[in-house]
Amino acid sequence: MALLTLQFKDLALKEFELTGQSMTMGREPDNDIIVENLLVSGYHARIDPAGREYILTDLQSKNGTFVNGERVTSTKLKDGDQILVGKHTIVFTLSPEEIQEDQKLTEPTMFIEVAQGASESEAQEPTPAGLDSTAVSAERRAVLSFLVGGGDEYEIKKKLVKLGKGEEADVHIGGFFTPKVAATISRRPTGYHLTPTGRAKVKVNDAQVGGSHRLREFDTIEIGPAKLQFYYKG
Amino acid sequence: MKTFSAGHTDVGRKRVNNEDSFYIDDQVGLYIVADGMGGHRAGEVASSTVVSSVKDYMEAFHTSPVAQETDESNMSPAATAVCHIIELANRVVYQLSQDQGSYKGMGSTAAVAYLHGDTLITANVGDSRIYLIREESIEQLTQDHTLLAEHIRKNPKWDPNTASIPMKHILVRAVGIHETVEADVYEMQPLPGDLIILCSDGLTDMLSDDEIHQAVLEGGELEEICSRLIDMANERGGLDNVTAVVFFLQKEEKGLLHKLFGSK
Repeated sequence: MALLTLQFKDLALKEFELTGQSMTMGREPDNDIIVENLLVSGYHARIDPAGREYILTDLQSKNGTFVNGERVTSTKLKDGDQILVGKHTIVFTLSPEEIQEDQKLTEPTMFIEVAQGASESEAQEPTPAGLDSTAVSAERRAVLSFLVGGGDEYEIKKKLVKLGKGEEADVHIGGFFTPKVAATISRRPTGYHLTPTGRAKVKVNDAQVGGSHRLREFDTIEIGPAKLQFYYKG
Repeated sequence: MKTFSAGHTDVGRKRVNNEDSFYIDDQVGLYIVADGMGGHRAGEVASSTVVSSVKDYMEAFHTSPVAQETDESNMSPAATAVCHIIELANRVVYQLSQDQGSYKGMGSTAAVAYLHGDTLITANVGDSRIYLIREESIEQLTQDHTLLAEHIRKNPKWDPNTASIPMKHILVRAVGIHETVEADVYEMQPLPGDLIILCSDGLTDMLSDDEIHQAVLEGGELEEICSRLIDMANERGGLDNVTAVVFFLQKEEKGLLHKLFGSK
């Protein structure tokens, strides 16, 4: 745990733990570290966590922020750094574990390395937090399988799948009263969402769907004469 | 479907410049929020360039939709267009940053919503978000492209309280940083009564999804909802620029609702 110690001359006034949130220091009472001194600006400087490190930024304070005697606008903090605001010193210290970990690890990912992160994420299908069976997953392919009144199994690859009788429908559903598009299924970060167009009754597990319905595995969808089941494969 | 919209941006309480930009156009059905980054006003240049390029290209597409060359059969032509247009905006910003020394390294997020006929297309790069408020629920339609979000996606069981790796503000994707960028694009069928919010992280860092939802449910004119959201973010500290764009979908009917909201 990184620690900030507020000092005036050689007297330690108070200690603050850096908890992973951004912290501001200044004269105003809503700062995390309040430094009551007229040489200190209302919002003087801020410390932001960045990866495994902490970045100190001067908030365009009137009298400046100094680290180990040098004026800074923005800088990475190292263990033992002395931050001077007005006449107060704030000492930044890392715990022994953090120092050890820092030595073990190479430089953290910063903005310049964005490309690596991007290519990594592009290669992946979105997998939302939580191991929810309704979540969109890379390994499992979502399929619709006809239980009654239809053709082959349909694998949901498109972002928006249309179900109905019309030519524009991806999943063809017969029946005299079936509209061109009776419902759609949208693949989103939160899962697969079934939305009836309102032109025909759509039921999921025997209950009529009003607005929209987030599909769960083995849900049974009923549209006109057709019954389909939603599940994951692979 | 017909849309009504409002948008507001505010510098916040702690910043000097507002690097956010937004755009709303109910005729085209286009809504954009961009949050720029880069020193010396470069952030503003980046975000306003994203907004103006996306707007120009989208308007052109809207008036004469040209078939998009695509190797992705999983998207509609309009969604493919949105994808290409963000790619184009990326090139414009990237080129600017290469040409002018003071713009070096600038970039921007992009959150774009485009209503094309019966389909709502949403796309994003970075950590500006799009939410859908439908009936009693709020749903984030985008995924943040931050180190933190990536980490959580890869480690679903990771408990943020057990480690000190907050990577919330480090983007892994942004418009204009590299020669190319890939936007996440989704398509859905909107319903009358849906309300969509586009916002910068200045809002979502200060307010939870629930609080945003509650603020919308308090009702009022769309302008009031925007101001309410921004005021709430500022009351919490307003650490960053805050932008909120909301739009509301309505059936094209000359009903009571039309009389109430449609006459503006």
